Amino acid sequence: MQARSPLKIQIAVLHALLIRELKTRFGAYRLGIAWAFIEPLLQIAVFMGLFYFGGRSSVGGLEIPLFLATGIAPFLYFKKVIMQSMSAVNANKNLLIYRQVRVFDTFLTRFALEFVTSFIVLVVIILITWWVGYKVSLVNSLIFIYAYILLSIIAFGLGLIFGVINTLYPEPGKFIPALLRPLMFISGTFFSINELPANAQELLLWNPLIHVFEFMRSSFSYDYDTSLLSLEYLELWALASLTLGLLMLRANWRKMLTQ
Amino acid sequence: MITFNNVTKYYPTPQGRHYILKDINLTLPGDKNIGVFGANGSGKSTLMRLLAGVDFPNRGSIKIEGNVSWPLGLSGYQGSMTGRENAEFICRIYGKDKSEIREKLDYIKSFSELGDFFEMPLKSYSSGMRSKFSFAVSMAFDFDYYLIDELTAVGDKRFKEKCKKTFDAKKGIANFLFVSHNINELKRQCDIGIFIKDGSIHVHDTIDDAIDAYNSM
Repeated sequence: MQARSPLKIQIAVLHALLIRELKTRFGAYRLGIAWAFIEPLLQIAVFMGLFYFGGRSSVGGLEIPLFLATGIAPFLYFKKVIMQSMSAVNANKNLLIYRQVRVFDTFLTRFALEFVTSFIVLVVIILITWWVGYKVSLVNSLIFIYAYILLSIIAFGLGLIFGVINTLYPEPGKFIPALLRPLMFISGTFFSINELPANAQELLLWNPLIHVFEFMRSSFSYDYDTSLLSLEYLELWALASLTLGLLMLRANWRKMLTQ
Repeated sequence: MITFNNVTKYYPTPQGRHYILKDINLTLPGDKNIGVFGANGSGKSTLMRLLAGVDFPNRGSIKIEGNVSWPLGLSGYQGSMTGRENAEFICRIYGKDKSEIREKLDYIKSFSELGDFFEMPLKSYSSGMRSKFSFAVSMAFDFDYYLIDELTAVGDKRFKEKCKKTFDAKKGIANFLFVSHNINELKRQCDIGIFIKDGSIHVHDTIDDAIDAYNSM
């Protein structure tokens, strides 16, 4: 057997893990793919009902379904990356017996799969709203993609952090999903930061997810008010969470192998 | 050749550090099959994991010349995946190309004699089938060192005979490190024995010496 380069080995491992994830994740009947669409669509439908009874048809120049899609679908993506990361090691425990498979690979595979699937889901849902007859015009695709990428890096970084904590300390790890649930209500998934009273704005703007969703919305309308938002703030979050996540993994991956 | 350089391995416990290996300096010959002895919990499996590179000493280093298997036993497989999918996974991480994968899968399928169960999730296997599958997978790959952690020949006489033959064929070109509770098997397969006890490793130059030491424990 001749020696392979580390890069070649890692690519082979990521490929093998990806196929393994696809098999177990989407299931024998591929129902997992349908669920990836149904979950955000259901939540969007529920909030559309609420907006309908509230008599609103648009927020900040975006029609309601598009406004909700750009909050709810990326929020579910964020949540899924974190939940998947938290169980990455335990779910692949048996496969960590092979020296080629490293802890980081299990995180990276799950993230990559979610990154691609959720982007497709997001785009398809937006296309559906357009196809149904709502007004959808993408005026700044760059900011849309950039916001998605920043969201991805933040989610990956936090996923690493929570993944390390949950693998090494499963007891406190149980609180993390409980904390994620109320997060949806303070992340601007179904409201715009621009429509809140000033003191609420000040508080909620600490939440990076609001910036992400609002920037995404601004890519569909020239009039969308982005004066409260900051790309620099998001970049700082991305840099900080990824750095901390990688450092925590680097300090702990050996310990995680025997958990 | 396996070289232990000042190796210390412990597990933290509420009562303090539990030492598996303490300041081990040791060289094991590269042309001998080695039986590993020790009481339950003495660290045989930890030793295998250290050699396989999936666990690490707290201090010191271990050097092994040549390529080493993963700890060959009943673990290392995903219950929700089929026999074929599990085997494919291992082929992929070992960088096998398509034709090599086909060849390995054919070998594993026919050696394990699982038939249609090869396409069934591993969790549906009986323990005998699981052993046969593990054995077939383990023998499908070529290593310089086979770390055998309680992987024993199972099944009827004919299947056991087949396993024995495969072992013997491998022995000519590779070395074995054997953990087993079956003393007869160790006696048959190994040249020398090492005995793990209280954080140290005793090397016995013949397998019979090692067995005597183990029996008088």
